Amino acid sequence: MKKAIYVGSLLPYTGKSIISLALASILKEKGEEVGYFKPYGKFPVLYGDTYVDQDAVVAKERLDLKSDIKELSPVVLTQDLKLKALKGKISSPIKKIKKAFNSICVKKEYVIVGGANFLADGAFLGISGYDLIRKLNLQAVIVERLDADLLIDPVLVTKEKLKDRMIGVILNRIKPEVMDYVNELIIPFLNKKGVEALGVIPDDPSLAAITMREINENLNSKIVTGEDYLDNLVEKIMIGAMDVESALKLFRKVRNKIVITGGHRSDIILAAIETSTKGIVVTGGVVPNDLILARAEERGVPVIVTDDDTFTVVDRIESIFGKTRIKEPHRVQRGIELVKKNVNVNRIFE
Amino acid sequence: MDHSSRTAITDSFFFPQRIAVIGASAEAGKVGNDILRNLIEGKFDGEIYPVNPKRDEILGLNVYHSIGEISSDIDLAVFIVPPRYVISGLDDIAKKNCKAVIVISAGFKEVGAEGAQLEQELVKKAKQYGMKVLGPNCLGIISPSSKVNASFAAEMPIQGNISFISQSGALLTAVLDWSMEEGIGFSKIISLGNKAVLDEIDFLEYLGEDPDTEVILGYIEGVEEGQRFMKVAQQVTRKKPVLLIKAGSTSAGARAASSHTGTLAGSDKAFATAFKQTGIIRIHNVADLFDLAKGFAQKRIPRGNKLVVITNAGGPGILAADASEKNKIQLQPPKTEIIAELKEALPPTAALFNPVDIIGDAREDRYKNALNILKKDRSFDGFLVILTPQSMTDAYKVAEEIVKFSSNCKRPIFAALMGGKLVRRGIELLNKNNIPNFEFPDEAVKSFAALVNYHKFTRKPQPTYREYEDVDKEKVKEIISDSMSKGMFNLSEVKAKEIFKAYGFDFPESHLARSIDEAVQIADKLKFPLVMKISSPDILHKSDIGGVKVNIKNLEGVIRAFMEITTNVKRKSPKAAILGVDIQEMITGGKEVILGMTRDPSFGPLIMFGLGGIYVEVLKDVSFRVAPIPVEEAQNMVREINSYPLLAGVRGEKSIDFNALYEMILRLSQLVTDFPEIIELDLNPVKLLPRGKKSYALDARITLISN
Repeated sequence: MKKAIYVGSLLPYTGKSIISLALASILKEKGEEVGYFKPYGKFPVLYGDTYVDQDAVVAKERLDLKSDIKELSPVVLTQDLKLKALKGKISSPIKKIKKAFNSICVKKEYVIVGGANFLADGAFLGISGYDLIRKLNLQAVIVERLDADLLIDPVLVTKEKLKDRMIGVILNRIKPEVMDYVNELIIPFLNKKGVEALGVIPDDPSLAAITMREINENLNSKIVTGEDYLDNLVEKIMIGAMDVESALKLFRKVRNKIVITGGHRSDIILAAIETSTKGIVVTGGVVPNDLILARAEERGVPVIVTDDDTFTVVDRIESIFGKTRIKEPHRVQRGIELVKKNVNVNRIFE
Repeated sequence: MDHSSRTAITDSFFFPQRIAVIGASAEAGKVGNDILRNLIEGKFDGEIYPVNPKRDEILGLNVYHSIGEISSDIDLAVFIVPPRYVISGLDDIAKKNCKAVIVISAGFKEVGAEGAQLEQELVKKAKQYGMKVLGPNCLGIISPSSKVNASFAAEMPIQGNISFISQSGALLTAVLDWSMEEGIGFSKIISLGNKAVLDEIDFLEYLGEDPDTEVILGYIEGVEEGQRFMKVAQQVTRKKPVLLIKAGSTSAGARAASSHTGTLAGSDKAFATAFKQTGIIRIHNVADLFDLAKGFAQKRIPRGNKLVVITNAGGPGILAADASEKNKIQLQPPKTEIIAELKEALPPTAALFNPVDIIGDAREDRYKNALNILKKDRSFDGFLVILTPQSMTDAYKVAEEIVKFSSNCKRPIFAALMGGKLVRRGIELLNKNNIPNFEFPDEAVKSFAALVNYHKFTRKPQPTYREYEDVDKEKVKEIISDSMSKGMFNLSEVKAKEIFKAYGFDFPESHLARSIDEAVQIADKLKFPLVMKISSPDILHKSDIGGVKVNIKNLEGVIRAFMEITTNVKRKSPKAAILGVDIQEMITGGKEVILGMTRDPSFGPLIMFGLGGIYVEVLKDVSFRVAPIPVEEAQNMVREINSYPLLAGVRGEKSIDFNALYEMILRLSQLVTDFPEIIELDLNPVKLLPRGKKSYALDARITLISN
């Protein structure tokens, strides 16, 4: 085997799962024998008769991997495991992980190792990212976002810890407005500190988008029109409680949004469907009149009705926003495109 | 009459020879029966072809079982059948060379998705056959002069010279009923319904050319093609007055209107602006609509705003005087020689100035004398005759005198015969002779004022437009498409300024300092005092969070300002990305104004102008125009604000360079007309200096559409 690369991050939801899968897919396209390994997962899903990590399931299908899913995802955090570990009733699962890893590596040129939420994850089991990189002898690629200060402190600390095991950092989800700042200040600074920037990937709201179907399932709401458009992808939430003039001004500025409003607010609903809106949630259980629903249908905007109040609806949608997993194929495809375009892939694999 | 020169809408709606009534019914009380009856009872003198598959004869007319059975061509088809039969009926009626269709039937877009689809099919068919379709879901058309009552309104109205377009059928029936009692006559009445094909703009255009229409009235709830509406209105209002009620002027009203029509109406501000800009007289309630219409319908034109009031009662005279001042109407006293003559003719207690009070015991002869004497005073532009019924007054005889007086008077005459039973016959006589009578004198004054304003408007020269050739359209196109492709819809200040510069706006030179060292270096090359502003893509209102420092006089100040600005922003807007601080020379003196634009769903670019600072924020002293703005309107919108005198200079101050300001407005108008992608922008503030000095925009903001 040439190289095993751990893709980790210091914050959750940096886009690390998609980037892992993208790297593996790119290698596969090049005709390399590539493996995938998710030593420790935090999102258990039932696969066959066993609970494994969701990323591993997607990777197995997407990369057409022959390895047993139990090897691809040897440890996944369940309530039961958590309790046992806290009570000291089990020993570290590191052996299990090592064994699975060795089996995965057979006949592979490269193995991409997907990290958990962030590097420290799993420390209580003795299998944090830091532990695994050392014990499995991995090279690490760190995926980071910038915080509000436009700083990368955690990256520097990690570099100190991982030293040469860290290949470099991919800065992901960078807003176009701060791109110049990143290129002119952050990257030269990182270089000076011995951290190589492997790529800067611009923010792509479509990756964080969720479908109207997901929202509708999450809200337990009723679809009153636009059933054919539930695959519409929503990127932002807006609330329509203001007067229509202000609403229109605000609505025009936000693309691919969902608008939450009351059923009696025909004006808000019309303002929403005149602008880039992918769906409307009507709260309070009042169904808008037929004329308005006809307009929504005409424009391909699904309208769903719930008895809940606006705050509850926002809270529920927010809870799934930006935290979507990679199971939807359009996300992986887009991820591959972005990585190919913006990341120095050869450097990672050399 | 030759109507061949008329506009797009075929005359067949109002002057048909052969009308087919598809869905004629034998059952009294059904719409299909009402319409047929109305056509017959209205004494339509052409051929009527009722169509009903199950009847052979209705109301004495031979019935056709299908459209195909009709052997001749059809000029006008009226459909009162369920929606799906309307669609198939259009194919059949097309074979009869029929180009004018009224669809009375409901059940289209107003009932939901299925109906909306049928309406789309209807539109498609209309296009395919080149048909003009009125409705669906409307009351029909009434044209008293050509004896066409293709509607289910209760009665044929009186013939007159007022035409009425209404987006509400129900309101129309109420108004018609009331007009009969008021003695108001109509030329053409149109119920628009869902406006699937023909809308208010088409009829406005048609009525503008119609020789039988003197005044156009309308009730509308929304306009979809605002720019086309304005273009047509601009032409029509120069030929005849257009009085419109735009319903939904409050947010509650607007909400009701959008539920009713299923379309998003433009803002009330935009409607008010568009009406003002095109000379449409905006009316706020139905009573005013007809009060003003009556004034216009008498066809007499005032040259100026001087009114003389003749009254037999003091109180109503005072009310007229109050109303005059409120409506900017002058009540000046008659000329000296006229006063002398009045003194001879009237009792000693009469008031000879204006209002002229001829005292409670006045009979018709005193009205006649006073009117004839006052007529000699050419400085009066209009007459208002007030009468309250006293024991010796004979309202009918006074009305007779007014009618006689009017027969050779070219100046407008208004009457206020006040009361009920005692004045009724007099009012009827006035109505018959097209002399507007009002219940109260203030309404009469309002009507006169509308007449005065309208004729003042028609005397204005046609608007002129200016296009600047020195703009760099390509560059703006490039910036916009580049930003949109990157998903940047709120442009950075730098990009926004580049766009404005390409359209001829000047900004003081500005430099980004990312650190104090850079700030000092930059400041060293500039002339103090300086202005420093935060540079951050996440902050739109910089001064609100302490992101702006002005009047910085030295390098120490630059260092202090850099620290203060960056820490203020960090504290008050912790999530904002700070790119640095912009430094520029400060423009001293002059006046600050604001220019801005938002896009209205009906009318498009609505440009705002106002004096900066508290004048805009607290006093809301701003004016609006819809772009493209003609040169004259650029000037008007500047003069319109209350604080205009401040710009012209008070207490020895120099006036700002107004031409520079007009030019900025026109360039802005050109920019937003060229680029519909710009949905919002602000130049705030713009620093205007006296003539000879350059004026600058200091800050710029542009938002692009994110669809």
